Amino acid sequence: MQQLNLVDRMLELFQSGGELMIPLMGLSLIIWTLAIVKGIRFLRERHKETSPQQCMDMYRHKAGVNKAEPAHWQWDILSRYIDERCEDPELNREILKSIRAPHEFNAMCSIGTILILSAVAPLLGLLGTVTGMITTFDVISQFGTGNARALASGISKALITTQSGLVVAVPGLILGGLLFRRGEKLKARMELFCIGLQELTDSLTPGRK
Amino acid sequence: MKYLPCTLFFVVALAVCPATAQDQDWQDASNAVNTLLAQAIRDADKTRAIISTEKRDISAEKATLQHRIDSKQKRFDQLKTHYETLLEQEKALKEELAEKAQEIKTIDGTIRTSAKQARDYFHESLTTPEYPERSVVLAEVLQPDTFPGLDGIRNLLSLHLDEMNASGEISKRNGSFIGRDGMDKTGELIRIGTFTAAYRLQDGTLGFLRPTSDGNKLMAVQGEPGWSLSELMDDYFDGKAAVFPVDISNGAAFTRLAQEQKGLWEWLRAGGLLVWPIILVGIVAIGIVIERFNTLRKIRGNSDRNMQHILQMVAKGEWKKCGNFCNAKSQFPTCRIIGHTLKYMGNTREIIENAFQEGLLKELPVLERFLPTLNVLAAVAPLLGLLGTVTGMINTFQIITLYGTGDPRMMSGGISEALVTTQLGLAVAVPIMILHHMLERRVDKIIGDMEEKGTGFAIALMKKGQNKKWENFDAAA
Repeated sequence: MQQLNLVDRMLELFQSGGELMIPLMGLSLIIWTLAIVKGIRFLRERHKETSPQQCMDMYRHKAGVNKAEPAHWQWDILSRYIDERCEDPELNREILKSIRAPHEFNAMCSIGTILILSAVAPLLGLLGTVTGMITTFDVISQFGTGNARALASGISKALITTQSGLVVAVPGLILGGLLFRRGEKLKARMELFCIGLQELTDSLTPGRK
Repeated sequence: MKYLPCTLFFVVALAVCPATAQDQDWQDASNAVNTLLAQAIRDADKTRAIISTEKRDISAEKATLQHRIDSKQKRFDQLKTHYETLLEQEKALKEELAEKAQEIKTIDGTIRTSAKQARDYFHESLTTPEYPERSVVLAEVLQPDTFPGLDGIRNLLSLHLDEMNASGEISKRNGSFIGRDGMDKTGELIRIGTFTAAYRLQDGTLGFLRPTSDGNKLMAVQGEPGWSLSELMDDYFDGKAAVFPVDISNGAAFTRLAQEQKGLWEWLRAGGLLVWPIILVGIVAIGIVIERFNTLRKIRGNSDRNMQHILQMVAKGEWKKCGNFCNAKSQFPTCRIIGHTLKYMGNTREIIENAFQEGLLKELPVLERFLPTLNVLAAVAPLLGLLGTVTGMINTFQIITLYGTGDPRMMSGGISEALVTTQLGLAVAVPIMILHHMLERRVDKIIGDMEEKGTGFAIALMKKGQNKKWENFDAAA
């Protein structure tokens, strides 16, 4: 019953907010879905991450058997690097960079979207404010300022959309910021991993698996 | 009495008469006189008797007459007093009548006023079309120069009581009304008290009803009820739900319903001149977005598979075939870059890398073309909206300087200009921002892909070169 009431109240709020509540709701859903999916992926990858040495050991001893053990990107970089590496260390660095690039891109993927959508949400809220104000002034031009009840609907529309825009934007920006920092850290760790990997493998002869 | 002078004359005549006659004569004469006298006396007595009788009669008669006069006088006096009392009574009654007439006039006026009020009210009332006898009763009561009478008052009262009754009931019936297009329509009608009436046509069209200006018919309100309202109303018409949207503002909400759905053109015109540059910005942005999406859609190919082919060919050293392949797939920028890099094959690593960078730099402008413009447009649109806001506000304040703040209606023109431009600016900017972000991401992805593939290719090329070198070494050794 309580939940039903809550739903009712939400619907009421939704209706009094006007038509701009629908895109705002959509934005909010997209932002939260992206952020949660991204956050879970980050956490899982972070959990699985191992040092380059361990990775190498795992790769050597149980090649292809237990692929789920290290983080996906570590495994991918390692296997492709070992496949492609050669004698020249400079060239090796280039190879690692080229292997790393798509992973770095993936690391930052959808964070930009979260941030831009969070930036759009207050604009939509502002749009709702303006729309509500237009309604209000239409009412004023029709009834004058006497009819406070009619005025209130436009004003509530204006305020509720602004409020919702901010409610959508603030967590979005915070989540986006958090994820952005995590992504940057992940990129830094990838670079560290690559350097460690290169150091480890430099002593080995090319072509051995 | 009247015989007395005659007698006297007779006596005197006798005395005067010369006594030339004889004593006899005289005696005779005196006898005769005496007889005459006696006669005369008798006569006189007789006369006297008659007189006295008559006198008596007359006096009696007089007395009777006097009596009659008296009685008449008495009666006259009596009647006069009566008349005066009656006059007084009349005066009093007249006063009373005037007083009563005043009262009646007041009552009449009150009834007429209330009948007029009732007419005005019933014209606005939703129940009137269900009670067509109302106008007849009201016309009777409102007839000039006639007092409506108790019947009229009772009828008027019963109208009010009917209305009271109707205001507490929900009636559902089939009936006719004037549709939104002005044509007569027939459909299911529902009336909730005196608040709201709604209709549903055979084809499922829903809407609210208002009484027409003369109150005898119902008329559809302009404007559609929203989706959620329609759902509720439909359920109610089918008897599935117990909730029905009611306009408790007595029609004010309906006016707003119609007003909310005013045309796009009207809305744009309210925005003033600055609407047009914003629309222009929007159109240009849409053009750019379409062009970009088209271009980028063509570019996105299955570059992984192409790359595999190329790498295989490179590994086998089939340079010519690789070059041909790149030419064939030249719609993909990755292949173009690789084709460009391929020409520098066999040179040192710096040259190959430079060649690759050169190819990439050549491709970048094609990919990123118009994207900065799009960004600028997204930034310009809200600024134009802001400009419109300021312009509108200036107009408003100019109007305030001219006319003061007395009439809020005067100011609303400038204010609506201010708000419409802001609204339009934001409405244009938000989609541009999102689309720009999407395009930018796509370009980023393509560039990243190109870099990755290019580096991979350069490495493969160099490895090949290295291997060659080693083979050379081996051969030399």
